[in-house]
Amino acid sequence: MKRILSLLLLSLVVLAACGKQATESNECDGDNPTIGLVTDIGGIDDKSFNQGAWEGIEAYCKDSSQSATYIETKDPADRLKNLETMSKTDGIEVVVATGMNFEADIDTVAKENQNIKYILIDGAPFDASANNGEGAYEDLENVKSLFFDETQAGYLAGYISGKTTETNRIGFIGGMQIPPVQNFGSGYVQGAKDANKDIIIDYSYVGNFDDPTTAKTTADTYYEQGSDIIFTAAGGSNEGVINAAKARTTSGNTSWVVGVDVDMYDQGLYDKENNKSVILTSAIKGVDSATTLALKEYFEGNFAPGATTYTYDDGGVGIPDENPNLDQSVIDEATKAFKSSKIEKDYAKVNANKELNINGEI
Amino acid sequence: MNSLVLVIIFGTLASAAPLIAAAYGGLFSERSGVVNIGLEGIMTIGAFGGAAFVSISEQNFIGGYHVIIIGLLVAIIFGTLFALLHAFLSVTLKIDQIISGTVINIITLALGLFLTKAIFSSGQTPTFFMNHPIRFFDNKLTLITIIILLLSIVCYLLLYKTKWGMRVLAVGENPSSADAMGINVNKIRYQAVILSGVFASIGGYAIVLNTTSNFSSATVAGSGFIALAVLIFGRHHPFGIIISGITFGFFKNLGIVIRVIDPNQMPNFLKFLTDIPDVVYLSLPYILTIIVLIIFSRNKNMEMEALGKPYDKNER
Repeated sequence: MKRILSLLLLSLVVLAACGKQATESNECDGDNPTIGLVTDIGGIDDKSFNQGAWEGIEAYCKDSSQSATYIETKDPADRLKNLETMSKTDGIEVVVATGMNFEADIDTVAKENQNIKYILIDGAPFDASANNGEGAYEDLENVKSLFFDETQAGYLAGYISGKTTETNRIGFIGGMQIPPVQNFGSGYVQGAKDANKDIIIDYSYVGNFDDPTTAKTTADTYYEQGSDIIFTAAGGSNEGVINAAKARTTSGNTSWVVGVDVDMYDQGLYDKENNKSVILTSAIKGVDSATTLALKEYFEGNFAPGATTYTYDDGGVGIPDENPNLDQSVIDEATKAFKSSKIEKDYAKVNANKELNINGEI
Repeated sequence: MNSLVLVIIFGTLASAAPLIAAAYGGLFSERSGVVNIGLEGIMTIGAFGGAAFVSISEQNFIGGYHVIIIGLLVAIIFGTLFALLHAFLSVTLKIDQIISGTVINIITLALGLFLTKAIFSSGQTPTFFMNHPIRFFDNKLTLITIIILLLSIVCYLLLYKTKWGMRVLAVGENPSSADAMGINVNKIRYQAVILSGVFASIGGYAIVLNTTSNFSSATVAGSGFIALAVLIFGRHHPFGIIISGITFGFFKNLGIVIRVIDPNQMPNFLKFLTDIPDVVYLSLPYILTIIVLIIFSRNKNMEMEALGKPYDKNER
């Protein structure tokens, strides 16, 4: 009896793990979906790029007769399998995948399925077996890569922070030391420096996207040693930074946070009745609009393989339209400075710049 | 520098309290002879229940400290339900306790995220506003942290100074003798496991109040397993748990602060600490855990002879 029940329970768990692959119904519902999204870990509503990609697809569904479906990746080992499943689904013409973690898998799958077009966000096809196993990036005829110039959004947020700070000291807390996060940080540092040449910047990475405790203690340390604004680009760890700022602000020490990826104003609310939030502004990455644009290109017969980088000029990155905590004059000044600036893309050169006063490394 | 010492002290208390509460839970369960590796899952569902309740209340413009307190009760109800499931599986059905605990860990996270999606159509519950007055020292210390520390006295008295506590210890050490003396072994184990659910869900809710103000997959993220290490390091004793929990929290927070501090703000004789590479500080809590487990696994606690074994009258 006992053994049978144990086995039953175990099989339930296994079933539950498999069952997660099933696709769910959605607003893009239709009989013959032509668009398929494969998300990375984090799920379809991660308030980040997975959600952005899906919202972009939904926006396109609304404007066209196309319908779409998606698979959420729960286990890193399933990325390849999910891509293959989606590619082999009847009727699917375009597969969208999110994140640099798909680089090697999309390379494999795209070569096997020449008739399918692929759109990869934040990554390019990577042939892991090239160069005697060292691997190399390559261009494939049926893969389009969407990149975002995060340094530009970071620069704008940095310039605004540099002008707003009253202590001449601001902070940056990233999730992990990977290019999309480093770009935000690098731009932030340069923008702040251009706005305020005496500025000191506290700079570090949590080391994880799901460790709000570490993020909170880091934020408390930065605020205590004099920073009054912190840019948080730390995924699930963001809550720790926002929480630290709220606790301080409600006890009389005004402490600001700059949000990331989407407009985080609502997440920073501490007084809903008066709409008061600790979010100064947010460095936005328009994954949704870029995805919509790429789909539109495909269905209008203009699919262009290779890498496209979305920038401030085409609405790919920027800051929110509404910033209740900022004067319009500061935003105008930042935009003007941004347009005449020359942003350094090489992290090593930014780190080596002796004039920058950074406590930490990009 | 002075204020940074405060960051470490309050950071330590804030991150230690959830571990300590969950370890109290493990204490009662394991002392009665039931291994509870489902602490992680019970914390998760407790964190979800409490966070969801407070968020729903706030969306309906009901705020204030009483919402936070009712949220605690909701968290406890959610946690207790799954503790009851663990008791049913491992005590009544005599299923392997590790499997039962694993099942709970898996279903609670999935269920919590599923319900979050269903209620708030998002991967995380809305962050709540902290205009409630249950914080002290410039909002640095929460009431729940103080309550959790004080609960150690309650746990001590309950376990060592009451008839029920003595029965828990007896059942965990030698269920056959306890049974022969007329103690209902399974009833005591049920009660102990349910109590472990109460404490573990308080721990989960404490993470929400102390650190995140919402529930997502990143909220508990392994704290339940560290709580098990805290329990072992604390030698299955309420006051030991306090000491070990604070030790864990202290090393974690000390590591963070030294890693990110501006060296110019350190006193000269401590500056060498900032020269040590980041990885050392990042791995410090984990290395400490391993060392502690190696040391304490050697002298096994002989008072819990029946740990992990379902009680079967026929085998007496």
